[in-house]
Amino acid sequence: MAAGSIELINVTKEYATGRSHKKCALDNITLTINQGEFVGLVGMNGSGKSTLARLINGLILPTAGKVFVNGIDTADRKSIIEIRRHVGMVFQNPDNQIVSPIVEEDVAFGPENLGCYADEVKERIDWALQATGMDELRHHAPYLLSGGQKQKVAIAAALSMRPDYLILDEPTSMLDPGGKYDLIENLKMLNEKYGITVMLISHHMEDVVHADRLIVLDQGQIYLEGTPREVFSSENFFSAGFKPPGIVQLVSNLRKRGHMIDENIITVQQMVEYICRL
Amino acid sequence: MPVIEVKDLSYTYCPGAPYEKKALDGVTLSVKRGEFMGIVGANGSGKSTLIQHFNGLLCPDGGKVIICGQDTSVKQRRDELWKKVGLVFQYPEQQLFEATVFEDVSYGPRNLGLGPREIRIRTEDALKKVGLEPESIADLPPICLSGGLRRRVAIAGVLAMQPEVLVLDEPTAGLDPLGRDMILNLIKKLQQEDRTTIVMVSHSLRELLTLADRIAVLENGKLVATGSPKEVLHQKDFLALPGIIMPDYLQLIHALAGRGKKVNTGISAMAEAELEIDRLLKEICGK
Amino acid sequence: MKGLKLGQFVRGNSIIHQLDPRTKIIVCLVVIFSILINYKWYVILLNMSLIAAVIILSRIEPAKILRSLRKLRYLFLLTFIFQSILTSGEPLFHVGSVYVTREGVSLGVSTIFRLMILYLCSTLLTMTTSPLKLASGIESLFAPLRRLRIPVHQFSMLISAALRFIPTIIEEAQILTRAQRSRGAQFNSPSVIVRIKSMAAVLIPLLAASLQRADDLAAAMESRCYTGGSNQIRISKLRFGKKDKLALGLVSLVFLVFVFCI
Ligand SMILES: Nc1ncnc2c1ncn2[C@@H]1O[C@H](COP(=O)(O)OP(=O)(O)OP(=O)(O)O)[C@@H](O)[C@H]1O
Ligand SMILES: Nc1ncnc2c1ncn2[C@@H]1O[C@H](COP(=O)(O)OP(=O)(O)OP(=O)(O)O)[C@@H](O)[C@H]1O
Ligand SMILES: [Mg+2]
Ligand SMILES: [Mg+2]
Repeated sequence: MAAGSIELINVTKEYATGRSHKKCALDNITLTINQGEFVGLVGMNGSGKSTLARLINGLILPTAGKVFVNGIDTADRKSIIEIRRHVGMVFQNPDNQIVSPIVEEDVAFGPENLGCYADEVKERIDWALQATGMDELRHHAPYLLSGGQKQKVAIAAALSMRPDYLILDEPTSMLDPGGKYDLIENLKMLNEKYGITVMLISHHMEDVVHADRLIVLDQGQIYLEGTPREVFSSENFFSAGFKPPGIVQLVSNLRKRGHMIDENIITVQQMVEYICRL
Repeated sequence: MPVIEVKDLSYTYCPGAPYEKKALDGVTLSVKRGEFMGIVGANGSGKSTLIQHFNGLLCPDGGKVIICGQDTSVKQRRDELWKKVGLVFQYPEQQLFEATVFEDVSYGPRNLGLGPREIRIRTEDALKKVGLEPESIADLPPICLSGGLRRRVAIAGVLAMQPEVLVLDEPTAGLDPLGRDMILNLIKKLQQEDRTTIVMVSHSLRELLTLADRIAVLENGKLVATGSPKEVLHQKDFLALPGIIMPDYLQLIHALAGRGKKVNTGISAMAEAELEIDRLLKEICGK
Repeated sequence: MKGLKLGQFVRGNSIIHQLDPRTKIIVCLVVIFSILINYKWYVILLNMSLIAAVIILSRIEPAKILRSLRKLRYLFLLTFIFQSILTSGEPLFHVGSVYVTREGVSLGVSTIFRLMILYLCSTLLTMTTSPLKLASGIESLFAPLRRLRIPVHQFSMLISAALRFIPTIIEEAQILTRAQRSRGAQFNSPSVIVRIKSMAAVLIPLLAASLQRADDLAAAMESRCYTGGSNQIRISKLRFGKKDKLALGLVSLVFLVFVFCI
């Protein structure tokens, strides 16, 4: 088991629904996430994204197969703290993950659970708040913040454990476009500047165009995997009902009109540069 | 005559308390019969507060709200308003409570005091409208449905009351692309075929630009712009509003214009953007 | 985002906020104890003055707290009526065969005040102490009970989580009420059956949503390395300082004198 990565080996997860019924949420998945990557995870409702996220930090255990975080098996309950220290999680609803009515105290919750001493807790809070740009609001009450700010508090709370991996389960779905943009920019910065591995789950392809790798789940299986460009141009992607971001659709329509446009273009910035270079 | 008329509406939460919040401030707005009105604005700008005035859940602190010609400041009228204006809340699937889909969807019609035959007809109609087969789904418990299906059942519950005006608060939030398309098509069809007046709150400017006849923009409780998608897009400072970001194809057009390219920034739809870029590319290559 | 609910922690820097949670809990217990064992007027007066002092010192707007008392007015009224007619003693007047006694009226009034003290005291405690601090305080104070196999930590966390969720659940209930009202639910219909049915339409989904929230919160806490064990770091952060000793000493002394000596 390579250290410095998350590995899922032949993972299956079934939920018991009713007495004899079972629902297979993940079906024999094998997947590696390397340190430093920015991974986007997309898929239809019920395709198993949240299940995958919860498996990685040991909130649930696989029915079959193994999940390793930096070489530690999540089924090894003795090391569970170690695993969760490595894997920070952020959930969809910002209101449901805040434990304290003071931002600072909320961010301190993780380090305190880890048993850090006061000055170290403070150091970690300072860093986490500064990295998310929430420094000025540290004494505020989270419920008085906007949705986007609340999500950043949740990110700071995860960061204060100094995780290697940050897993975000639809963090943007309750935010306005401005808050969403800020959040994604913040994640990109954390990934580039601090080398934190990010796994971002979203229903919006615009959120994940900047990912190094895109994973598409379908009915508990990995349906497509590749760089966003590869995935967006795949025939299977369309036939499953997904649509790439508007700009990619636009470019592909232009190609159909006979323009020979660079295959690699998937963002607005790239397209602007491309046209200006012509 | 407009179906919804809002005149100088103000609303304050918790008045008198130290944390009182003026959620709406002098909003004036009207929605014509059969129109599709979109509402956008940042988190906390007052969108949900505004639409709750449309079916009498909230009573204006200042100004007037007139629905179908009736002033809602009279309590009696306000209490009857739910029959005319159907309101689909955010994450409506959380409200499902009956044991079966049929019973949940028929909750509204039963409260209207209709006869059993009429209730059955309306319920089945509503289910068909949201694209569900009454025969196969009516007797299932709502909990065992997926998120997207539950959302549709919840919307059917409002449609079954056959409202003149349908108001929806972020109906596509949290849905996958298929679910989103399904809901948006359904809403568009209701407007075009049944002539239902639609008011829809959304964070996605792109959705509204393609669907809405008119768009209202809220900022911090104030109405800062209304008009057709094009008018709103060209209102000065619209794009500088917090929480509002253009769809990416328009970002492209504006960025190109900023770089000195000759493109028409007065467009709103993606197809128009395509034509513009097509023309631009031909021009560049022609030279 | 939504408005503050009463009883919810209000951030502040006042002396009351700064006191150790344990001090505040003890004072609360003393107050409650004193009004339970002693019905005399001067005890009520003493407690009321203490509460007034705390309100002033905590810089919470008195009007806000007083207004919230209005919500309890029916409870007060009912208590008063029952006390005044059910207590035997010197009759003041009678309606039919129901006699209102002097003792009853006096007891009624004092019971109202005692209820008020109970309410204000716990409200002030939760308004000036953050739930996590409160939990640590309870845990540390009652730690000896662990020897009796009482799950002190779980209990304190439970209180903290409940406090944390009350405002959210109230808000959720409000939204659900509105949603069902716009589907024609009648909450003030003359028919009891209709009212009960309408209530069920709110309560059933509310319960489901609350469980969902609790589940989410549990996941969020667990993923931040909360293991359900007690947290010595957080407890050791509590500082029982000079101010606390002073406050506690003063309050206890005054109470002892009043409650037992006079
Ligand atoms: N606790 C549970 N008990 C039973 N079934 C569950 C449970 N959690 C999830 N499932 C089922 O497992 C499947 C995968 O669920 P999951 O929540 O992982 O999907 P998802 O991709 O996150 O969906 P969404 O986009 O709606 O969040 C679904 O069919 C769901 O109904
Ligand atoms: N029940 C309430 N009590 C107190 N304040 C409230 C309440 N509901 C809303 N507010 C406040 O009123 C303002 C407008 O809220 P509203 O919910 O209308 O915004 P919105 O535009 O719908 O936001 P979002 O995009 O997040 O749904 C916000 O500042 C909010 O905090
Ligand atoms: Mg999910
Ligand atoms: Mg809203």
